[in-house]
Amino acid sequence: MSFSATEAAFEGFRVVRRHPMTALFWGLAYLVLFLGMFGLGAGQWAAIMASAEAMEQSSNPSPEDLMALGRAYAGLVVWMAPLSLVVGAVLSAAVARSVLRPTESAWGYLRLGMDEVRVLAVTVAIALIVGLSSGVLFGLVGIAFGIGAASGQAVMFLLALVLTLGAVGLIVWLSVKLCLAVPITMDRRKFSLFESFAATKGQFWPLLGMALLAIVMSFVVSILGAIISAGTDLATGGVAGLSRFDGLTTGEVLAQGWSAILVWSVVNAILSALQLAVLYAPFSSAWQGLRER
Amino acid sequence: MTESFSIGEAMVTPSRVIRRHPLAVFAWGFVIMAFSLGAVGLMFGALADFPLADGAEPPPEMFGQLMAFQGVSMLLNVGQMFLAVVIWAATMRATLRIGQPDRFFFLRVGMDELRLAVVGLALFFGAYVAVIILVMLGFALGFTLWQINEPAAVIAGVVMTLALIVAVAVAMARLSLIAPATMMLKRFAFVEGWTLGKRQTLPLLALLVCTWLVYMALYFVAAFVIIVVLFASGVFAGFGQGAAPETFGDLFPTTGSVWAVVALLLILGSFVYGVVLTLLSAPFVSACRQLLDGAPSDSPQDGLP
Repeated sequence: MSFSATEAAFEGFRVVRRHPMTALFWGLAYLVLFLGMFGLGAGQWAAIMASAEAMEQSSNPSPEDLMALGRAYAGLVVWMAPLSLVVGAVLSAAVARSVLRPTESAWGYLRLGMDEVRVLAVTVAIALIVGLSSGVLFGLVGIAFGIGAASGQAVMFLLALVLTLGAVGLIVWLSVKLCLAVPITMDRRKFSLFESFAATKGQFWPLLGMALLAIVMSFVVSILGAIISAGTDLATGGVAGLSRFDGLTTGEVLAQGWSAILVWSVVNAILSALQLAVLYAPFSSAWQGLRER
Repeated sequence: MTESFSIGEAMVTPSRVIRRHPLAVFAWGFVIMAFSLGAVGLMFGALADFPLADGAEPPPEMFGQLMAFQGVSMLLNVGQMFLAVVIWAATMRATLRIGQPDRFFFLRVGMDELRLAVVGLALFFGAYVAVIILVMLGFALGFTLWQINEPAAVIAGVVMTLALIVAVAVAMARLSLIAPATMMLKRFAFVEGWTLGKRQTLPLLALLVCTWLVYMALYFVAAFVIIVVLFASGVFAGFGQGAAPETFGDLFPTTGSVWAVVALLLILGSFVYGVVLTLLSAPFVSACRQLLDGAPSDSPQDGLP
């Protein structure tokens, strides 16, 4: 089997077409995540929405407004991040399994085992590598801009701009070189981070093209989703409407805003499941085509 | 696959489509025109109660209406994008099947449309990002030059602006075969479309210029006719007459002449719009087809290689 970028880009649609129930299972996993998110932090969400609304209506938001919004988000992220990482790893592993081991279709390919632990480890490692590289590179860009501003030399801005483009290029290159790590880890049933570098050798442009196509297709799905969301938000007020419950406890927010939370969660769970398939499945399909080279 | 294409043949293709499928051409324009007029009507309806009198405050429920309208407006934009893709695909399908009858005026919603939407978005965002990067580089270079020599910076600015316009036109020409190739090959044809345009940049640019010249001519004639009709129909006569308008709705007359203009737009305007859409799409489908298999553009087959 050979690798065709344009063929692989459609793998997400094929996965859902082969086993439509998988999208339902993945949607249920997202629903659990969303309901957990609101179930435990509805009060914080109300505060976030109220802060965001106040900032939108203010022509000149103060640093205190920004700090208040940042604090509200930080309070949520502290306990949401680990939960999101675990659910994300389970779902990433499920997508890879659906392409690489299509016969293991029980429970919509969802499992909680060593595969998921390895995918979680690889995902965290990739996030750290790309995150730290971005931090260092954009730190250098910031220094160049700072020197430009301090010296008043326009040539430093030109240099900083070229550095920015170079930094973005390097991050994209690094991301593409690591993009097969999850499928390889799933396929070989062992932690495989840097094997992705060898596997992507000579395939940079097709893989980048495939990733861009997957992103655009995911965007198309999100546009279609926006049509549905807009209708349901108009009917229920959406999560933005939670702002009116600012100051109430989580239980009180849930008691009064449960319909908006439930509808938003269901709609976004289904959309997220579809986007997950469209975005992630192509990489497993690419690895399937490349491993037999 | 042939090595060149005829610009004349490509430019004649839209007229063949219009001649053989006038109803389809009308339907394409009508779909977009009716949608746009509906959106405009909705907008005026939503804003009709907006007070214009001195010191008048909008009623409290107006804020909610405006928020709801914002949501609807987003949906309308999405709807317009959706229709644009469906009609773009229909014009290409008709060009590939000139002479073959089609119950649905070549309009479909399927994988062809999904692929075209993705191709369109990818090309749009790709071009957008490329232009932004080039403009930023141009500004940075211009400012650097400005510190050294101001007249040289001005000259460089003009040269870079012209170079950017030429680069965008050349890129548009070079990329113009990707969408038709995607439609014909029934798969994403970024590579095939790009390869087909190899050594065809100048002819494709010439085709693009010819298409735009005809488009501009049509545009000016249509604009002239519309202005004459609007003045002759007396639509503008309602403006500025009588008492000062108290609401936004009072600005617009709801006389029979408005409905006459709407009807004219829906009947004649739809056909003209369909013609424009065909003109912008069909020449490139023809060029792509000639390059792919050398088939004449009104061959009844489906353009598959």
